[in-house]
Amino acid sequence: MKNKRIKEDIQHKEWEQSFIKSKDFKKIFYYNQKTDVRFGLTFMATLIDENIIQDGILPNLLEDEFREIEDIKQLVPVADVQVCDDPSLIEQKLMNGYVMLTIETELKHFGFIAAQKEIVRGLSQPEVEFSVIGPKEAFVESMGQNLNLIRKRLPVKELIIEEFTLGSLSKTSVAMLYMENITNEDNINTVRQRLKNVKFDAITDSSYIVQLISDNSNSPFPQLLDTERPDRVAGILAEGKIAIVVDGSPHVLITPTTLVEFFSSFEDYFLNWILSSFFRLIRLFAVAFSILVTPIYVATLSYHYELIPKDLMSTLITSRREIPLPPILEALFLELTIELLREAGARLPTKVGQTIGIVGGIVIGTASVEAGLTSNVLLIIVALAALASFTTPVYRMGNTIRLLRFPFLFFAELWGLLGIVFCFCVLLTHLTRLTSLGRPFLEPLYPPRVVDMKDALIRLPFEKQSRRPIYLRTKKPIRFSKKKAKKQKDIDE
Amino acid sequence: MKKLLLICLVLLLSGCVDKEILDDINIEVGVGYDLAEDPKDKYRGTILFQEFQPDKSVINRTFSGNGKLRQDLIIDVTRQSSEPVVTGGLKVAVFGPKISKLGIYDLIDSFQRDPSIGARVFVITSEDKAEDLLKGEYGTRGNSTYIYNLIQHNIEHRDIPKTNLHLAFRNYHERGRDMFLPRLKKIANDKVELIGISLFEKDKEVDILPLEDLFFFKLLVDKYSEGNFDVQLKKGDLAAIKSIKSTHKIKITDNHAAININIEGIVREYTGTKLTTAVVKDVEKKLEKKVERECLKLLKKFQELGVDPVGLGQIKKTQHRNFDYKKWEDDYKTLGFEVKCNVNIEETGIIE
Repeated sequence: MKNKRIKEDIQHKEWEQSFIKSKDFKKIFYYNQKTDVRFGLTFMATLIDENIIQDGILPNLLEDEFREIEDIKQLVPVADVQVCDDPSLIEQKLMNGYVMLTIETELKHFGFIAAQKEIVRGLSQPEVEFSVIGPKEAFVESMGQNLNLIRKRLPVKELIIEEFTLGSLSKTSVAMLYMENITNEDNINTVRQRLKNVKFDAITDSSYIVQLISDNSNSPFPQLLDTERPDRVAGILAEGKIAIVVDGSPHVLITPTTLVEFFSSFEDYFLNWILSSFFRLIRLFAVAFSILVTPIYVATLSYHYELIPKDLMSTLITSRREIPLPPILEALFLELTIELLREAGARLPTKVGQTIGIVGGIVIGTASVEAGLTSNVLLIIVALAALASFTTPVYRMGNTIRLLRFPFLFFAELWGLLGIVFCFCVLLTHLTRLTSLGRPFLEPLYPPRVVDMKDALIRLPFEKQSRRPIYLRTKKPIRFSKKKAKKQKDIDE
Repeated sequence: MKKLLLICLVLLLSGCVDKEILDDINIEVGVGYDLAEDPKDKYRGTILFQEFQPDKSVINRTFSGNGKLRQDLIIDVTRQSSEPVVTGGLKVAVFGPKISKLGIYDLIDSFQRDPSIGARVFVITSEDKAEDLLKGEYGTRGNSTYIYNLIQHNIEHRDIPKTNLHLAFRNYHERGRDMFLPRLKKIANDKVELIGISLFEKDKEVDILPLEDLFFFKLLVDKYSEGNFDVQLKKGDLAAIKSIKSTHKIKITDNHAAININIEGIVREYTGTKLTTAVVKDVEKKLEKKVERECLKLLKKFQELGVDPVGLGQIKKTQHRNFDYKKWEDDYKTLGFEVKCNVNIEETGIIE
């Protein structure tokens, strides 16, 4: 008997080597009161919920008649109970929050009882994509929770959830969601292939996936849309796109996507189409304004004084008169100040963050004008440009716009308006070449697709949205029959 | 390697672009040319700059110089100016009386060749020396802005036909049409007044149309969108016609020009007792008669002077195949005119 036990201990130690170094590795032996069987529970204390062991597992195993491992399926009131004989599974199971059960008499068999500790943040309001109208739930870090939020909105069997485990160290669960009867098969295969090909050891957030599977990872433009709104994910799944949920990340990825989608807020669908179209156009204008206005200021003041209207001339000249810096340095100074303020504001805790507003607004803004470092006209322009850049509904795109301004500024200084046009050409070339999952990123602007314009720069009413976006090449291009939709039964003719 | 070279070129060549930072340049906003007293030089030029004060008020600063070419003037003025002189802000170009009689083509031509000078510059003539006109103190926004706006709103609402550098240049170059420019007079140090229109033959001023003729002149060469005119009635009553819209149609047969003028307007003021339909009819008739008479007089005058600001030659060319300019020059002298005017008073205000 004693020899046997020693043998068992030695045998275990091979896989336990690393485990026993950790403080949270627990291996405890108990005796069943009726049959006197000695059984051991092995688990990682940090991953499991001790209440499940105390209330659900131990009382039954100690008090009921327990002879062999197969008995646990009857004795333990836990849904996920497995018995297997493959020792290679031990590490994975233990690390996923299972309790391993061993009996001296059956060394080859192991029982696994699920006892994961779920530390879940409660549902909260969306913070990045907040909307006044519409649902107020946002994704959390737990994948199970997130999938639940999506499934509830699309309760059909065609919604397929495929799971992958990525990252040799992080073992992150990544789920790919699509509608089996709608989504294009090629798109599904491409995403599946790209996810399988991911070679990175620790994937801690969905942002990693964005960078690892995007078509052109050297582009400043994000080619996967990320969202924290379950309603948006449900909406795009119904359109025939693919969603990628990453465990541990409150942001779900959407692919394929287009440039205009980054400037559409999901709130657009909650408002009347006239209003939402207007807001979309305003947002697009804001982006153009935000990128171009400071470079145009620099270009005009440095090279093209002829373009300044005669009534504006006095305002510009008097505000620039005392400034020792040339327009480009003046603009860079202010642009960098705004960038610094933004970075500082993003890093500081909320309560300290308020001081940033004071420092930025009063001290730097007013003081630099009074000190004669910058002109007040430029201060207004830069502030407006910053304001306009905040209107971008997707934060990731907002960052891109922040960056884009600087090459424009640089070329405006080099060549004036010609430089801005040059920069614009380069940008346009890049955008036309860019793809998201192999689908053109500028669609429906280029290649021009009039049908898809219904939900691009403007959003037409839902009655006009009877077709899914054609660039997705869905299996069912028609969402609903237009003829049937037109019949309104409550109206007497 | 090629890419690297390209980037290097981009960065190095950028040094070749001339930088003109707004507050480090002296922007020429107005220019005036007079005949030089010294016969060695061709003209005496005056350049007007604006100097903006911190309280946004404007000081007018003028520099003068002599020369043969327009370039000479800028070189002369650069010697006196603290910052480089640039021409892109030019709004008004004034020509003195003597130089306009001698010909102004070389100077206007140089404007057209300077890429930084816009097409909307107003070219005007002055009654007295251009230098004196520019040296006044008009308004608070600077002389050039004052003169520019003065002409601008007179074109839009009053009797000056549309004119600017581009149009003057077109009128000059188009065969069968002659140039005309608005004429200004300085009446006090802070006042300047529009006094008529200078008629040119080629680039030489030949006559001046007084203010009274401008209404009819504009009817002939341009169209009204918002004009005003007073009509005198039999009993000495006056009727003011507002919001005049006019169009004209000119048809030229072999030796006869038929000019049709259409006028629409509103009677806003009437000094008589009651504005009845009969009176309105009378106003229409009177205006028609007057327009027909005065326009005919103007056309006859142009014929005598040998100028063609209406562009009758050009109009005939558009209407006739095998048009010959040489022949036209003789034809014009004997051309017969017929002016038909049709006035339509649309309303007379809300009280009947």
